[in-house]
Amino acid sequence: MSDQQELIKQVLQGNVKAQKELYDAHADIMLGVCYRYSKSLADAEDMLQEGFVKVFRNLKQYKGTGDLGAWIRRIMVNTIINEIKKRKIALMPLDQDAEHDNQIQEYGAEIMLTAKEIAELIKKLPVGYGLVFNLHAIEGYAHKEIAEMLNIQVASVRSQYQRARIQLIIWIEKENASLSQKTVEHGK
Amino acid sequence: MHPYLKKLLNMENKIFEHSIENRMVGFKLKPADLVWEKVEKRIQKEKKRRVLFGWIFLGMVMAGVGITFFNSHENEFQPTSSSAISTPISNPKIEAYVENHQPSFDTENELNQLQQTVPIVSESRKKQVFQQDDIDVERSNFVSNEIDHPVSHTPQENSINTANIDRKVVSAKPQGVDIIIIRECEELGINSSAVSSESVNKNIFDRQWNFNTHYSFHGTGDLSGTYIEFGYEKKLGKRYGFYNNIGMSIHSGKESFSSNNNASQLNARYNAMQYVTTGIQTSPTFYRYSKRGDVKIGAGMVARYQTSSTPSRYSISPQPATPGIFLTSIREMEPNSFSLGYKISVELHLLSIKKTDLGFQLFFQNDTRGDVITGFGLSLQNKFKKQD
Repeated sequence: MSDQQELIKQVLQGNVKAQKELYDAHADIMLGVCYRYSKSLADAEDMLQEGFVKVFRNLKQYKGTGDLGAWIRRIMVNTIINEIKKRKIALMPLDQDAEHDNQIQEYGAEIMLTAKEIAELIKKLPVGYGLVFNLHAIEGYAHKEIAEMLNIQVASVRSQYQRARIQLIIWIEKENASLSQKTVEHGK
Repeated sequence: MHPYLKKLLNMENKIFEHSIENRMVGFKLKPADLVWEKVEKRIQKEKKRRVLFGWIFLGMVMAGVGITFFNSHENEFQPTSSSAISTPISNPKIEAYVENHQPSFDTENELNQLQQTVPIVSESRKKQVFQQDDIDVERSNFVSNEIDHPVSHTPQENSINTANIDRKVVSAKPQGVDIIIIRECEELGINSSAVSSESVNKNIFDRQWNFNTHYSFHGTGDLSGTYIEFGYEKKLGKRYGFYNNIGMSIHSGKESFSSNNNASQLNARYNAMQYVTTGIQTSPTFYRYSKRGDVKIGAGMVARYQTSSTPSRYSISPQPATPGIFLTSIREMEPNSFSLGYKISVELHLLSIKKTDLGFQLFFQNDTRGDVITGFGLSLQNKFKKQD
């Protein structure tokens, strides 16, 4: 029996030490996931708490075949989506700009920002945009899957994703330019 | 490839996505210790809830088995033909009465006929036997029962007006035959305790006022308090009752957590806040009584209005500069709520003093808000018969 299987067995037996060990092993990375979807660190911690309660509640359903981290991450993402739905936050923002839908923004340059800085930019997006962008670009869900998860049209998902993407590219380019300028000034 | 051609082929430029994904892989943030505290607390709460549900379920099953067991054994205690013959009737007057009404059967057909058409004893003959002050019927020989099957009789005998009289039957079963006597306590002036105070009480009083007071728990036991209830019950036939009530609960709990931000107070526990939840409810319930009437099981619906000072979202921040002092920020309060649910209760009769009964009750209720309330306590009942 692998260490992970042994740990899961202990957790299922109600061993608090094992529960803490499992939590410690995944909490940091899962808070990173929650942080991208939420508006503040306190919100992200609330989501993390809710997600881990569900992880412990449903751990017996984990078959042990896939990666445990990926399984926990899926539960976290579902928790986040439910939380956003519960708060009845409109997923479709009002200021729709149809012009964006017809643009394909190319981006081939290197991103000079850190993960936290990128996360901050994603958090600046309207809730619906940020959610769709996170689910597609980072979690890897297809547009159709996202549409089913959020109960919205696939076209709406696609459109929101494009807008989020364009907005982020604009912001990242701006930040990159600012960083380059600082580097040049520092070099002088 | 031209961007518009890419669009036509429904392809996206994935370079950006890959860059973002690569950057975000392994993005970590350290959560506050309080998050684990809350997770641990909730897991423990759920564990306690599972144990509590397990005990309640076990209690219900045991109560059910117990009732079934004593119901089935009670039938064995009722006098049978052989036990009635072997047990002498102590009162010579009743003995004489039974003797006078003891038919003789020559054939099995006659026996069957009589069992189908049991004669009701005429008024005059009853009075001959029962118009005595010192009449004493032993319960072992005469068991009070209501008529469970149709009884046919002659028109003359049917002329007795018994519509407003609590009709009870005293039966003995010598030689396999039911000799049934309509017993009309009021008309005959017999002291009801002569037959059996317990059985008469059960049958004469068809309504009761209840006052119940319980020690109760809200949720998984983290909130404790009191549940008080006033109610009114009407008997529906021999074994059933309908009960309606109005009740009020008040429960309080403390939110505590441990902190190790101060080296001198490692893992010290603090009670950060106290909150109160109160509710008013009504729970119309149908009861089923055991044959002896000393245990009853009820099931019904609950309509409950609840208000609470419990915060649903809050944070507690230690203040490093002032160890032991915490900043509690309440971000969202639990809203007042109206909910529907179900309630199950079991009551065990403890004692009777005249028209007053005392019982021990257990109850469990669950509602659409997800709240579970359990409790145990005493039930004081005042029995009466509605005046027609």
